[in-house]
Amino acid sequence: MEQTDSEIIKKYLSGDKESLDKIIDKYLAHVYNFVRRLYNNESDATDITQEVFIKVWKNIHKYNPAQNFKTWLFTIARNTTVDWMRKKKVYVFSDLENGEEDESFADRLVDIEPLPEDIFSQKELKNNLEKLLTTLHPDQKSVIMLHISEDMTFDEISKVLKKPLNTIKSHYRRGLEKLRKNIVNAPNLKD
Amino acid sequence: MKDIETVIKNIDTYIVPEGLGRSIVARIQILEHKRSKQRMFFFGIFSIASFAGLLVSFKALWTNLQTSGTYEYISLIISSPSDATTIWKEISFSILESIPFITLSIFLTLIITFIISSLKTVESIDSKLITA
Repeated sequence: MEQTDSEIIKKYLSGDKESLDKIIDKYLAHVYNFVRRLYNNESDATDITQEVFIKVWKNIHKYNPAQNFKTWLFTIARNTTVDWMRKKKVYVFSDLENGEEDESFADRLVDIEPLPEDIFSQKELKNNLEKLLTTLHPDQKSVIMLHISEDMTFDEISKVLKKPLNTIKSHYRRGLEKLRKNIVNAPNLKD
Repeated sequence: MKDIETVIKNIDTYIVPEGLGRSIVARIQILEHKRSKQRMFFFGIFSIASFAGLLVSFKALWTNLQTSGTYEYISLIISSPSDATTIWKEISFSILESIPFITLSIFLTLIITFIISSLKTVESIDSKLITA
């Protein structure tokens, strides 16, 4: 039977040094991809990923086994990436960063409609979306990637971003809406 | 019709740079080694200091026990237990009164400190050997 993350960490804390390698192996690709989506720079993403796991190692004794490890790990990953971006002054943080959002905005949004498949080929769509994702606010990107790629619930994401559930849902809707709007003009993105 | 979420889900994942996992593990091992070295140094110094304090406090405790009369009362219990049992209440009170509590508590604290710091030093040496 596969060990849970909490069990692996317990083993590590009781002296089994190889348990940490297991955790790194298990989550390396997830963390790297998440960091890379937030901050699309290969060399920095590598450094940030290293930093994330070093922080995990340094703080592992503070990890509460009752908490979801993935949530804890992605909180560290997100914070490390945002700090890194701040240091590099990559992103000018807007008022969204304060989490003071107009909650009614989400309600005003229409339901997400499917895209017409025939507008773009699958590959083209993927490429354009990748480019468009880089234009989103880090919080919107975080929510979208964590929810869609990492299958995390909005509740878990709200713990990662330390923001209210409604704000998270709003980020998600806003992000998708922005992508949806821009994807229509996607041919403009073509080099 | 394809939903945007499905498209995002199917975006190709980035390939993790080769050796990234190994380099993280190596960096952690270096930091572990460094941490063990610092702990070993810290607890080692603490063990030596507490041992030195232990010797001094033991000497002081021994002198205090002899001058305060506790030693005599204990000798009396050991040499003639039958007599001691008849006047056990008086002897108990006398011992309690004569015990040098301050010196004794310093001595006991130092014993505990010495044991803990020695164990931690051994633990650090052990961990340093593993990470070496």
